[in-house]
Amino acid sequence: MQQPNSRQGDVLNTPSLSFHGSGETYFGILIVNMLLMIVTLGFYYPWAKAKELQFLYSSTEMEGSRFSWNGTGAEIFKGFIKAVGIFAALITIVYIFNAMGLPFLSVLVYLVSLLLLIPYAIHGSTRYHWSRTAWRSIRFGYRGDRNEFIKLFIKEMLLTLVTFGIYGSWAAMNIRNYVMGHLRFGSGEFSYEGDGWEYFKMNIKGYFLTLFTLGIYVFWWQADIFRYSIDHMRLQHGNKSYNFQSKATGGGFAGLLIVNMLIFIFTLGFGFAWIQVRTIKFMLANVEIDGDITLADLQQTEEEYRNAMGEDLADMLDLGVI
Amino acid sequence: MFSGKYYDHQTAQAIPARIQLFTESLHMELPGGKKLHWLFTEITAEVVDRNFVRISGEVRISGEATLEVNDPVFVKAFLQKYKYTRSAGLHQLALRGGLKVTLIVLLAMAGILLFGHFYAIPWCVNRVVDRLPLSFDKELGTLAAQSIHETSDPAGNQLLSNFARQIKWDTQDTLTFCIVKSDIENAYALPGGRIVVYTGLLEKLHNSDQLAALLSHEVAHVTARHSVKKLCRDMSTTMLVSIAFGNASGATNTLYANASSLYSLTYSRQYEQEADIMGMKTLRRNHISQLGMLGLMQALQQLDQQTNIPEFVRTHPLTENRVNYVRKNIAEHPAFTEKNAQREQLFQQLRQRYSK
Repeated sequence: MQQPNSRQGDVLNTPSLSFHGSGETYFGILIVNMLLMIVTLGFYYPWAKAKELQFLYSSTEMEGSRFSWNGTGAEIFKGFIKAVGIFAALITIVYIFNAMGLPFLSVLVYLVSLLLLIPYAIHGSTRYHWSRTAWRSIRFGYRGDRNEFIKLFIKEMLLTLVTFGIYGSWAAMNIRNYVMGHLRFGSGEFSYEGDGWEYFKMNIKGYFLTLFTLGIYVFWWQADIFRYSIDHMRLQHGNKSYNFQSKATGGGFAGLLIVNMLIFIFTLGFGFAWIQVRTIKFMLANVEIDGDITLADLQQTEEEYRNAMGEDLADMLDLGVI
Repeated sequence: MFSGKYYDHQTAQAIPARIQLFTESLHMELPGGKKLHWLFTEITAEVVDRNFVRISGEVRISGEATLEVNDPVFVKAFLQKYKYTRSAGLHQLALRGGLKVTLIVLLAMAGILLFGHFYAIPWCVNRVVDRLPLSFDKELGTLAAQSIHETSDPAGNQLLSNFARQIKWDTQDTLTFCIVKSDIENAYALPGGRIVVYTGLLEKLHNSDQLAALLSHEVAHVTARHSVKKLCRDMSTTMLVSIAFGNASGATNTLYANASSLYSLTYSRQYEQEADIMGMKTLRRNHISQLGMLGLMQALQQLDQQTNIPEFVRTHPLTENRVNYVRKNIAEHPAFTEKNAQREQLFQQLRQRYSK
């Protein structure tokens, strides 16, 4: 990778992340979205989603510049129509098999298609989502290969199934390594080094300590999971790199989650916007980045990708991808 | 003069820009003396909040470019000039107007939801159910009967059916009457015409008029297609709620779904009253004493005293309430009655069969 603007010396940079959105503003956006969804009987959904993401990304700042999310309601709407088409086709096939008196075959077709659709949706969603995300006009991107990812995903799922879920930790790490390893930030490349065995040990420890402490340890477990997902991430630019580190503690998580729950209960759910803003602020404030990359050197390398079908499929399957 | 940051879409360099606003355009000066001029008609602006605006435009040779300004004074000044070329959407108003606009929107939404729940949905449901064939009720009833799994007493069924045959029903449904041995003090009607009376309730009835009133009430549920209407209403309400909270969390969803089930009790109460009044009409048409309905209510009232549940969370109107409107209805429609010996005899046979 060429670096025409690279500066001399190993300067250690520590870009900080922060969130500027207020719960009040976010609440306003969500309420307007709800009103328009009701009035349009739900057809406003793609535009609502775009508005929400635009606000969340545009309120997130790094090194004095805000992120942006450039997707549009129209793109998500087109993706939505395609996703509906896929589901309609699937249901028709299942219906035909049922009508032919082959219920076993119809169930099989249904399950296999779902197994295929999930990685397909994750791939498409990741690709669309990151391609529409930018910082200082430099786009993120996902360069994973669709067929390779589907094969990997199915292999990991089947192994998890065969081992009654024990392999789940390895599966989660292998999938995360693949997805994160193919993420780009302009000319910068992300990587993730998750280890199934370590992740498994951490979760087992978390599970049993939570049991023994009657649930109190769950916040420390949460902090461990968060730390694992942050600390094993790296951004590489040429021969320079950034390390990520979580400073979130179990106590911090306890404060966040307990107050969130209280807000939720006492506002009868209407405090949702404030809860989400608090959570985002907490997470961003607890990520430390350090390394010798000069962010201004990042170059535009990623293509725009406007097909939102994967994003909509993921929504329909209720997969929380991002 | 304002200052902002200019991005050229080539590298992640934040280039300082000095900005001037004009009536129909903005002017930028970049380091090195480079000058740019954007007409408001050529740009797109994303107002993130009252402090921050992102403006995208085109530049010769390199293509796209973005300008970001983090300055509330600029945002205000820019919007004043820019809004003449673009209309502000609801979102923009909410972003700029803050809590006031949000509250207005919230009220409007609550209004729409309440209107939908209490007027629009019931109205639509009645229209839809009128167009549904009766066979739909029948299928629904069969399905329900299969899932309930209750074995009725054939000889009792025969007696009750003979009893019901003495009454002229004004319905297109095929009615079937069953008796189930149980201590439950209740009776119910399934869509499509299956009516079940538990022996627990039968024992509490004192004469044949009361039994006739009970059956009239249950048959009215069937003819008025209350089950199908309730099903449609519940489904519509669930849909309305899930549309409104579609993008919020699943937890909110459940919360509101439960809240709406509390409301749907009022529908049932309304249906119960409708069935009572329709039942009275059946009694009058058959020259059966309307006091039977009153007696039935009083019998229920005695059961009621054992279990004290506030009316708000009960499906049936409080029986005291029912006694009142039944009394009023009798006073408004005095009717001629005649004894039917066969009915009385069948009732006695039923009583004997199930007396403990």
